[in-house]
Amino acid sequence: MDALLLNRELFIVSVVKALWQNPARTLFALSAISLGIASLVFIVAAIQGSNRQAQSIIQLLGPNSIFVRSGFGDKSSVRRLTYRIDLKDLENLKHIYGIRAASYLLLKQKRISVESEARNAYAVAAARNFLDVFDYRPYKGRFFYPREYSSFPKICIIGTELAKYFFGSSNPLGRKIKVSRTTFTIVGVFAPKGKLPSGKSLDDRLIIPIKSYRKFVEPEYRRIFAIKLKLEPYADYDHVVSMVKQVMAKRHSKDDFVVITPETVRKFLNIFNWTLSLYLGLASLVALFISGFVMSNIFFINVKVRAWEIGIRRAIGATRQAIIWQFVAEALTVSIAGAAAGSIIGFMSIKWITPMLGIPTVYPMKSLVLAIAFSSVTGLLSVLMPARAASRLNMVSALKSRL
Amino acid sequence: MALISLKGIERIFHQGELEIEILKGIDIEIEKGEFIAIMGASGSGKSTLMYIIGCLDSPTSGSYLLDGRDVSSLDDDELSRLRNQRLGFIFQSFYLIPYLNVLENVLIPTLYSPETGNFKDRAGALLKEVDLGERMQFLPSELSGGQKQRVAIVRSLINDPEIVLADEPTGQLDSKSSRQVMEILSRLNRQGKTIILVTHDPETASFANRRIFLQDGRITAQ
Repeated sequence: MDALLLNRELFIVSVVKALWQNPARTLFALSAISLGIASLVFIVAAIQGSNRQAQSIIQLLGPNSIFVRSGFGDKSSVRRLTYRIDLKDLENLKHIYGIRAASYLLLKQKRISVESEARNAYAVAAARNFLDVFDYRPYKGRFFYPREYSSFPKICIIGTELAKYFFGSSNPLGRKIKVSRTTFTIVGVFAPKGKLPSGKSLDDRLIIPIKSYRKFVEPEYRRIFAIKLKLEPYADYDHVVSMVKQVMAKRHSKDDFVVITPETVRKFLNIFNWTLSLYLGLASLVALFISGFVMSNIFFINVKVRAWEIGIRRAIGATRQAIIWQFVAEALTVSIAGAAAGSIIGFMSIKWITPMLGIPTVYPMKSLVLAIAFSSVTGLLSVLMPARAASRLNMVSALKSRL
Repeated sequence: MALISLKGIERIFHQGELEIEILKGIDIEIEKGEFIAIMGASGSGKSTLMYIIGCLDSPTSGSYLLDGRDVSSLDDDELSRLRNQRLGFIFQSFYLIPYLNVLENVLIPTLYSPETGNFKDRAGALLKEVDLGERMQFLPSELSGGQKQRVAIVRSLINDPEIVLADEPTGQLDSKSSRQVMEILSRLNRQGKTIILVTHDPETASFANRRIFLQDGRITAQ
């Protein structure tokens, strides 16, 4: 066998068996480093998840648009779950210079059924420009004709999820669907819009022209859930946003409404990201520092317990550097195993914890590289001192330490 | 020229303010191929002398020439190479690494050797010579004392050194195993190795061609 290969094999065997010899110490060092790594992986996932969340919100809002959502009043008011904004607000906002189009979102959860199959879903009212302002695209069939907004047709368009739920793979167009007690005919299916950050799907909704909605679904309405404004391309975005706030403030207290823009989402998520990075980053650095400290101490114990072994290795020809390499290799082995174990723990916590935090679940594959790099650096730094101490042991005293 | 030449070797240890003089001016010359026994009671300084000859320790004063070369002029890496290539060690406590099997223990010095060669075959052949050919995969804990010492002897020979240093090699062995070990050392000497044996036991020392007696750090008889 090639001598170099034999040496490499013997070195690896010697490193692995040395670690295996002291399973408790090795396991302790391993768990210290893997917990540090797990928190690191989790942070990366949380940050990537919240970024993805920001992107999806921004995408849902659409470019160059402003979303005014109803609040629920100030804290002193009885927390009635009624919306605080109304059509008069829409009228006022429409006239702000720079607004190209405006529409409102009015929706109510209803019992929806097809024959004997039934489920709860949102019925949405579509004013004349609703589908355009809220960026709905046809997927199958058609949207509403202009005249259908001024009459009372019993027609609707539905989302892909609702279509799949009631009709499976068969064509829903022309089929009957009941909202409460009224039967509507499906004339179209809108293209998938995805999910809200909260995880709620936007594709299990049913849209009805406004007059039909008022007549058959929800006769009495004044307040609305939200208003969406689309800006002219030339509009000064920040100026329009401040105008919107001013106009709203004339009729409402600040707790009655929330103005959401891609910029506010970005700002909020930036702050969120920063806070998250800072706290979790600090926590994981502390965890890595502690794990490095634990590992360093375990290796100091190793050097102490294995002093005679270092003595005999030196006696039979190991240079100081060779002794350092032995311990460095042991530490790196623990670190890499720790990175692997930590990544698994991290990925498991991503699976269980991020949904609880309302962050989209992201498995950051790049963090594996980060994990190995971080744990190797931690392992390397923590072993340097003990390894150096080992290499500088007095050979005779080291040998005698076994007697 | 002598293989090993020690002149005026002194070794002083410091314990706090206390100075303990272990070796008080040792002069020895050892020729190539000799089998020499360094004898003395416990505390006479014989092990310290062996550590100095084995380059595991350095004298406080005096000169040590190995093959005409002043050992004190060598740096730590050169001394490591010297121990690895030219010296073999056998100790009373065997010092076999407990988590490595017999073959791996024997091969450990090759890990630090710049030489290339078929060490695995050589280890196998040497282990067969000492009747351990069947136990290459055994752990040290599965061997008797005599077997452990024979493994240690093979380990000391794997890099084919000229000098074998044995510090009380039979100290932990029964008489039968002691005899086996000493016969192996005699055989090695006949094959040309220089053997330096440290012992307090006259029977063990009887295998040597020359005996040096140490008492209180001085040679009393050669």
